[in-house]
Amino acid sequence: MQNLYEVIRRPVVTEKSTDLKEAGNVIAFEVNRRATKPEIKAAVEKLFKVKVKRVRTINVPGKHVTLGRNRGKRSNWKKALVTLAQGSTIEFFENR
Amino acid sequence: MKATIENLGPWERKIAVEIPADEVSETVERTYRELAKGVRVRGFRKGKVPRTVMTRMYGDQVRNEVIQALINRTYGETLRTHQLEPVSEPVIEPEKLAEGQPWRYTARLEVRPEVKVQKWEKLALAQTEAVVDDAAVKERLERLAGMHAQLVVEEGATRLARGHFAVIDYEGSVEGTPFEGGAGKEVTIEIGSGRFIPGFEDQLEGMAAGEAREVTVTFPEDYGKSELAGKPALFQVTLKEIKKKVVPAIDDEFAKDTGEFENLEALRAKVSEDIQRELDEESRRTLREQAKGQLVAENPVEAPPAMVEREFRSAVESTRQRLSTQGVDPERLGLTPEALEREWRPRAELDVKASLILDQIARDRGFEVTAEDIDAFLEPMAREAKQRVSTLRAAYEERGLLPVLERRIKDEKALDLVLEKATIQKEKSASDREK
Repeated sequence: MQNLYEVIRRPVVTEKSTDLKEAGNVIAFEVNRRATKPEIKAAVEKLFKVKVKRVRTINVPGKHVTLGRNRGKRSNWKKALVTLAQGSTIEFFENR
Repeated sequence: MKATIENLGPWERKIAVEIPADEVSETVERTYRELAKGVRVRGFRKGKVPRTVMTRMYGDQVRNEVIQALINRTYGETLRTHQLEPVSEPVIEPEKLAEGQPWRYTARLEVRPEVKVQKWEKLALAQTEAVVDDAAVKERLERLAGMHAQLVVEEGATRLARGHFAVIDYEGSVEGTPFEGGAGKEVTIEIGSGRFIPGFEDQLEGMAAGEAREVTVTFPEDYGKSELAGKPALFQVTLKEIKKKVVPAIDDEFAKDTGEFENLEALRAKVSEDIQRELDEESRRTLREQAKGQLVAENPVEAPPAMVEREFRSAVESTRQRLSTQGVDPERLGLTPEALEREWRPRAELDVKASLILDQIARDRGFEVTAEDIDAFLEPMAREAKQRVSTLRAAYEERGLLPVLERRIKDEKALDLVLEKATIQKEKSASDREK
């Protein structure tokens, strides 16, 4: 992927991701489905100026939804669980 | 909680309150717990939102709530323990709140100043003891007769003159065209009253009943309708009738006509009694004002500006309301904002001072206001409004005005006592000042 700014879509803030963060300095992002682990690592390191220890990814299948008479499917997406090196933090996920 | 009080003047205090760190933390914690029960955040089940997330989303709100809660809890307590009696809303300056740190705020407020009553007994007062004299009764009777006057048509070849009432039809035009409100039929105007356009009444003088005349006048520059102001106008006037005001003779007949009186003597007695009552009331009021004035002169007190302001405003407001129900514009009576400021404010200040002194006297004597006192105070008002005392009291209670009322009554009681202890020089005076 040419542009690192296209890799990371948005942070994932849920109960589960908060638990991960507190347990092992792991933060979660929704990422471009075609992004690879090395690309995600590079993007996070460059954009947030932190050191990344490990990246795990999960392809999340979109849910089937029914809205009135219309049935549909939400898009599949890729979640990346990024383990930061000790001492690294990203401001957004911290308490002010 | 630690609180220190600083005296900034006889009536101004600065309170500095410090709340220990653990009390702050505890309050913050409780506020978050309360909040957590209700908030919904995407990605979290209700009630499962972690503190870190809530802090990010609701931190400011929680801080403000905590500040409010802490002030509510400690401010009243501080006033009680230091026996401060505020007369104004406090100006509160909170420090920035940080969890795990003690938190401080300061409040500036005006309090009831300490009053040292030095002299309240043996005031030397002068009271005029008014006596009704015949002239006043006569004048009042004449005024009464004037109100019962009737307009009677003058027969014969009378010419219209000053003091007459003319019944006219008229039609006015400006530059040849009639204008709105410029015509009237069977309108009665008093010649010489000056209520019409200047010159109009004068030009009618000398007319006989049935005669028609053309009258030319110029509207004044400051006339109410701007499109007519300063313009010359032509009026076609027909005089229908000449009337004269006939004032009834003051005799037994008149007494019977005015109401339930047997003869003139009974009416005269009633009038005399009325005047006497008014004068007595007036003299009572002046005496009380005089006593208040002396109390203020003899006992130096400082009036907190907030109290003066409140007194001033309520006086202005009640007058304004009374006038507006009568349909009078206060400005026309010379009650411009500047004049009020100049004349009523010192008066409000005097009232506040007098009230502070009287309140202190009442406290020193341990006066209490009982339910009977309140009822007795409301009784005359109730009678005037044709309501029951209990209804009136309920109305006061509902609006939370009972404490105000109680203070008034207390002041009155204290003033009664002051008057009791004063030496009052009685002066006789004729009622001729009554106008």
